[in-house]
Amino acid sequence: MKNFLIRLVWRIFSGILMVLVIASLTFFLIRLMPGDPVSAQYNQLIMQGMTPVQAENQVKVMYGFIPDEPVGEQFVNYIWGLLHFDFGQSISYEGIGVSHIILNAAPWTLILVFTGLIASFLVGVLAGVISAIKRSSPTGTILTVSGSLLHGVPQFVMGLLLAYLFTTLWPILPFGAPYDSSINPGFNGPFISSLISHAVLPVVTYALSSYGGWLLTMKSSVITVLGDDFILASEIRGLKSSTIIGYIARNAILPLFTLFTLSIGFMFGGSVFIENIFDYPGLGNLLLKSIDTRDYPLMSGAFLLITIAVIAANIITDFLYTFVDPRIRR
Amino acid sequence: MTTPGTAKSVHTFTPKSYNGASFWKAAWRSITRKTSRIIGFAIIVLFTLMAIFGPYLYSSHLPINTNAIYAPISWKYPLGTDFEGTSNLALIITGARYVLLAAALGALFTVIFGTVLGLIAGYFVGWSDSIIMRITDFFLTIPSFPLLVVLSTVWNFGHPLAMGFILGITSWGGMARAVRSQTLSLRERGFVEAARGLGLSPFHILFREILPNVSSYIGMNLLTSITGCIYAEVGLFFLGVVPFHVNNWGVMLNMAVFSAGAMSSPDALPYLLSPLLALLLLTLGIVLFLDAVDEMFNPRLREDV
Amino acid sequence: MKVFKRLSILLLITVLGITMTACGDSGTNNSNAKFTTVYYYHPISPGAPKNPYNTTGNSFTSFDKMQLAWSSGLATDLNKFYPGLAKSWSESPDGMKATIELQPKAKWSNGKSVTADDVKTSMAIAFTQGTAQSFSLGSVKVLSDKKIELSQVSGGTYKSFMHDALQQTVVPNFQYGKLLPDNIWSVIDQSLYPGKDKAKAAQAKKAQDQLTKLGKSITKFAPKTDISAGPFVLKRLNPGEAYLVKNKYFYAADKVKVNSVSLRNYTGNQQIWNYLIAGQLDATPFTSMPKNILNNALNKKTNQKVTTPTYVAASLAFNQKFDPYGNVNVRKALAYVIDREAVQKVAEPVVGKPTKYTDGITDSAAADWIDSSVRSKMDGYNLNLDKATSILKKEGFKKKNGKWLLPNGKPWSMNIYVVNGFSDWIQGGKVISSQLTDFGIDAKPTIVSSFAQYQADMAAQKYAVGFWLNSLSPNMYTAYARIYGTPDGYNILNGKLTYYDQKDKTKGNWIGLPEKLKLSTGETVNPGKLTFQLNQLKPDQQKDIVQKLALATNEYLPMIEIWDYTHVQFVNTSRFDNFPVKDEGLMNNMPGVWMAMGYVTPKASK
Repeated sequence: MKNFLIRLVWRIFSGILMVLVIASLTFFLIRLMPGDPVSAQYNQLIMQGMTPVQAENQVKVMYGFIPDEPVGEQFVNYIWGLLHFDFGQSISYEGIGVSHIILNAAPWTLILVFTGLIASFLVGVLAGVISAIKRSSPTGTILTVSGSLLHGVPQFVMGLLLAYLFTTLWPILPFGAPYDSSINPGFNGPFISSLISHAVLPVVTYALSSYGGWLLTMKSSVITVLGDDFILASEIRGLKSSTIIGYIARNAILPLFTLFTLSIGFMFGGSVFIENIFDYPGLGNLLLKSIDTRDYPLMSGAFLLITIAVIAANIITDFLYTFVDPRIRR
Repeated sequence: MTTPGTAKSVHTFTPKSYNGASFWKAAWRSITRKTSRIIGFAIIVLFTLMAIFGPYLYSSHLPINTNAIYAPISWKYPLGTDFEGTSNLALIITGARYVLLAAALGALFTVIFGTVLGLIAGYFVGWSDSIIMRITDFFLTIPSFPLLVVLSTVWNFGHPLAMGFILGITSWGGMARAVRSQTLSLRERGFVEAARGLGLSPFHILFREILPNVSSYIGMNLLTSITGCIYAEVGLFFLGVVPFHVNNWGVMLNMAVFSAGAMSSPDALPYLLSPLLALLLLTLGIVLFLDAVDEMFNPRLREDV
Repeated sequence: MKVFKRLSILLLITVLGITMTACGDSGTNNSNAKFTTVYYYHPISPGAPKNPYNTTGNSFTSFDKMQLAWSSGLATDLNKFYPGLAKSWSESPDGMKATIELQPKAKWSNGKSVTADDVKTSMAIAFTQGTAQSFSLGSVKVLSDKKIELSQVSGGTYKSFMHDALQQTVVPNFQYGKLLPDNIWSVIDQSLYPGKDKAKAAQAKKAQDQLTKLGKSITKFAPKTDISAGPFVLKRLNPGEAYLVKNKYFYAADKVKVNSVSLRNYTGNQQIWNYLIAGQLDATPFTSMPKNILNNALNKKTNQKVTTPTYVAASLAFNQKFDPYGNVNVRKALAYVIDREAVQKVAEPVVGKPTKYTDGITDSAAADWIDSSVRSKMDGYNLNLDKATSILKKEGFKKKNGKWLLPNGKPWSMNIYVVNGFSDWIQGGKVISSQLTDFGIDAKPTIVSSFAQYQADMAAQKYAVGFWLNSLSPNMYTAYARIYGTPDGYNILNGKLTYYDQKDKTKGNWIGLPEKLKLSTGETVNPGKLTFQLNQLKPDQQKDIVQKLALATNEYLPMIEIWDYTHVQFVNTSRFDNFPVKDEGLMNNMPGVWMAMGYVTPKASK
């Protein structure tokens, strides 16, 4: 038990260190980008049709929100703030706290990606088992080929294709936005059904483009397990095939488990493309927007969130695995 | 008892001498074994030809026709036209070069960085291993796509070499990890011990003994990296990252969705579908061909003739 | 299998969801007379404060964010305003003082009266935001509960003082007053010190810093409720829309027939297009769109397109220090080569019109300012490749193998500079390049990463050929200053006109026209001086000078005007009618102003 705790503490410590290192690196990297928040905003206003003088006046206030201390000092302040869980203030939102903005955007991403992840996992695992068992029959080949094919298709290509098919060609689903803005949000039927119908396409896009990965991994895992003795023994004993499949599945799913928990970490990157195409105000869109407007604190905050999530998922995966796989536990 | 019929048909048994089928012959065999693989191969060859010879088929300034903006599909414009009346087919063919070249270079850089670092870390365990693995972990943790978007504003990706290099830098992590673990297990094997005992230099061991055994993994990864790189670069252009070239497939997708309203009105559809289908076809080709590559590099899967 | 069951349940829920949507959507009844539109200036961000001074703030012009008056933006009547919170206004003859009388019935949405104190506080805040300094405001005097007098800084000569002052936002003193220190007006006074006394100047700088710091905190200020003096009050915000309800205390509440307003969010233009095509928007502001979207939008019979002129044109501009663009005949030849109609068709098919005459102002403004006698002297530079060829040959250019060579024998190649994100410039630049290349001049567009960068580089004389926005305003002085002001070396220092040659690269003279231009009428003019004079004259005295400048621009072509932007909006007559489509000035303002004037009536509900 003591060993376990020491390992845990050590992992958490090195994780925090990694986070700080990445935070520092991104701090300097993003300031390498050409342009600055003011000229980005100025650009935006000109594109909207404002005259240069009007636009200049409007962006003047933003100057107040850009720190003008030397970079070194800004860096120290930033790291100090991080250690106090203060992510700074956004420039493009003129003073609103970064954590506030991120918290507002997070639910959209999490709901979308999490649902997509679970859907793709379920479909992929199921199809993987079937394609492994029936690997010499056409069913198996078709499943495998379709899986690897869809896996190779870029996400936004898939998204655009599905969007075209189901919103323009056969308009049965709405395009864009998390829900129909004419409906009042709340715990009522129309709102929830609007949420669901708007979420169908993004979730399906996500699921279709990633289930192939689960399928292929599960298939090879199942094939390995199928060769094990205890399966042969179960067949000889005459157990029901559903029980046998249950045994196979439980054993084969172990390596996928680590992948799954790791994927949860990457989930926080949102899906930049899906949110862009379907206009969801989630973390991916926030990241893109902050890069466009050169909003350094917001960018750092978004990057940091993803990094922390990935590192945390890594640590959790490592430790949970020992609980899940009895063979590793001593 | 032999029947008279069989007695007549008994021949002397002369076994075919084993020539040790060359790699290329065996490779060709594995491709032709299944129709799906042949199709995949054909598609890849088609796109490679497009990339190499495409730009020569058209003048460097593609003609515009302002009376044929977003024209429908016809014999003159087999895939329709874009926002200024240039044939989409011409755009796709001339744009293939940048897309494929950058992807190929990116995959190459990924594989080179990943393999070399993985081999070194796996073989020379100790502090070099720890350092390399820390760096790898670091690159694996940073969200690569946002990093790409940020880097794309700092440096100009106009030249496919620059794009390929950046793609390689951000994606070698997974490869390095896998090669390292394979090297770790291989270095305990008998033949490596023997080589060490013979006093062969570590580089000889690495590149002549261990490397060929990881080659199947490398081969597969080369192809999957290509799809990954295509996805990343087209994605970057789709998001609106400079530089702008009208025949870049990602830029075409971007313009079709965001300035031509292809999602809201059917007129600009060919402008959206041409790059989309080109991408799908290319991916299909690579995926189908991947099957053959798996067999090519893995001698155990091959059945000898 | 368990997994199978889980999947089928998921599928069931989805199908259920879709069917429920089908039932849910058909429920928006019209009896509430909800007006749906999108907010032109920025999308909805739920986390932003309900503060008009924040750029992404949830305070919406004409709905709950009110000004003293609304400018009509008409070229024929620069001083026409529609009353806002101000009922009437007058200016002293020397333009130094403006007296404004507020609407007697104006009240905030909590019932309190709108008073001159509110205006005074708002003007103080304008100082912290930098806007008051831009129209030379000096001091504010409260004359009575509803009357206020604004004065320019002593010695100020700003011609549009009242014009700009009327367009200031007004916020309640009881909500924003506490953000300002008690001595705010003495701080403002100190910051305005123009003299040379060192101690006082240092004090002025300190005061200005304090104002800037105050400005920052005011921008961040997040009041709990929205208090509005406008026709509507913000009731509810979510990522999809901002929902406002009618303000019963509005001074013209009896004229407002709309009960509620929904401002929809959008993350990109394609969402607005979708709403428009589906007929969900009752009014749509200016949105860039391709031709096919326009056709689809008009397929919905209740969508009506409303076009009003703008005063912005896009031109191809030349830096005359680069060879061969210093030769006026070369510029004329280029004008004959470029097919402006084709360029506009690709670049700005819906919200643009090809320019008929290059004269420094848009065609619609020219209709009011330029007589036919002057017009007849102008050249339309219509597409004529033969004429261009003969001009170039006369100037010593030779054509070899289909490519033009400069008189010095070098091949002629051109980089046309455009800005990233300005897709109309990019596409326009591409078409112009193709036309020039077909003619034999090797041209291609080059993209600069940002507009700020582009402007800076233009001023630093880095580009030979690039795009430029012309005119920008119905005000003739502003329009011609876009060419014959700083870009041509004419700057105003301490009220006097100063000319800088192109040799001084820091002064922003990138056009480089000669100071004296001889017109075809025989007259020699100095365009910079003429433009400067425009600033001293009232509009009815400017016509003579405007015509001279127009002729000069047409004969010397410092830039070639390619297309005029048009202001295209849509109104939807399925739920509301009585839109002010004939009133150009009103259409230049937002729907809240229309409603306050009594327009926009809900149709009898089904």
